[in-house]
Amino acid sequence: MNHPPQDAFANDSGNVAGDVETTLRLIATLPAPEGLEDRVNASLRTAQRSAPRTGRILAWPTTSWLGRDWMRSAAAATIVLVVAGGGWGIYTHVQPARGIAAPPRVAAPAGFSSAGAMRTPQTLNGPVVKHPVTAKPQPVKSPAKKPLHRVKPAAANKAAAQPVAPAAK
Amino acid sequence: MSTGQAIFAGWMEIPTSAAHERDRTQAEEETLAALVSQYSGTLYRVAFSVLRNTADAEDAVQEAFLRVLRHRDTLHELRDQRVWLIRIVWNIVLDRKRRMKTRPETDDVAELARVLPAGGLSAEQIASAAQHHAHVLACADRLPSKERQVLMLSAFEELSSVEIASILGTTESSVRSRLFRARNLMAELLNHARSLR
Repeated sequence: MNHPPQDAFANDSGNVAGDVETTLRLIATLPAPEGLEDRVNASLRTAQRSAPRTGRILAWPTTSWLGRDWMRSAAAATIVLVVAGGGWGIYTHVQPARGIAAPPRVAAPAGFSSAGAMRTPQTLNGPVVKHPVTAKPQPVKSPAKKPLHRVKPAAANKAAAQPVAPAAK
Repeated sequence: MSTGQAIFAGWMEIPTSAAHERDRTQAEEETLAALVSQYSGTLYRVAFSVLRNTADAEDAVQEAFLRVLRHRDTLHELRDQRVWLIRIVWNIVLDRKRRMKTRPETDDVAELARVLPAGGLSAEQIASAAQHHAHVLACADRLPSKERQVLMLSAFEELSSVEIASILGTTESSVRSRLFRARNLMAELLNHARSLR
């Protein structure tokens, strides 16, 4: 049941609320200006003429009952035939492959294993050298022996100045 | 017409004849004219309560019916055309109010003095009443928007709280609580204004 909401809080406030109610009710009961309906109707008619309904399907061009019904059925049947024929044509001309042709497995060069992979990508084989060149082994240079610790020049001079100790007798 | 032809005709949505189209257009025009005749006054009052200007309110009503014209195909699906129309015009006037600058109170006084029913009152009494009403409306404008909207719509006796909730897109309990807050706030504002005088 719907009650006007103003009934629910009637007499909640004093004269102030009464003033508010009086003013708002007065505004809410003002009469509409004369001729409002005519003006609204006129604007609606103008809008209807200027902006006709869009997006409607055109009426069938024929007017006789024979042509209208017969041609409508024929057009619908033609559409169905064209769609079905197109689908059948695609079905008959495009056959799916019998099975998936897996490329032959190629042993990975340089001795790498495929790590147990079921399929490995087919890669290009590298160039094959007909006459293998035996490269001479380069002599390994022995690094010059250097003293682990550089002797200080002062200490070296001192050692040079000392007389050689006599050999043990 | 055979069953197959009937199915095709319905499926393709081809109008059977130009006469059928004419009949349909005429029926829609009659429905629109009936809506204008029945609800234009209500929509005008709703618009005027927010805009407080006769010309603006009339423009809003015309714009509302032009929107109805665009959706005339769905008119027969509506459950409550009155609430739907009021919601349309309500959104229009709120949008216009948002865009326009705040009207000075003197403009409201002049407009109210023009539209208020005379009822045997003198010109001075009408001017005094218009000033009082304009002052109350100015206080209402200072309310928060949600409370103000409920207070404005609650003044229309033909609108129940359920319908107000439907127009504002909220619940009935929310409408009642907002109305309670709005009246308390209005009482505070008016008492404060009187104490300053």
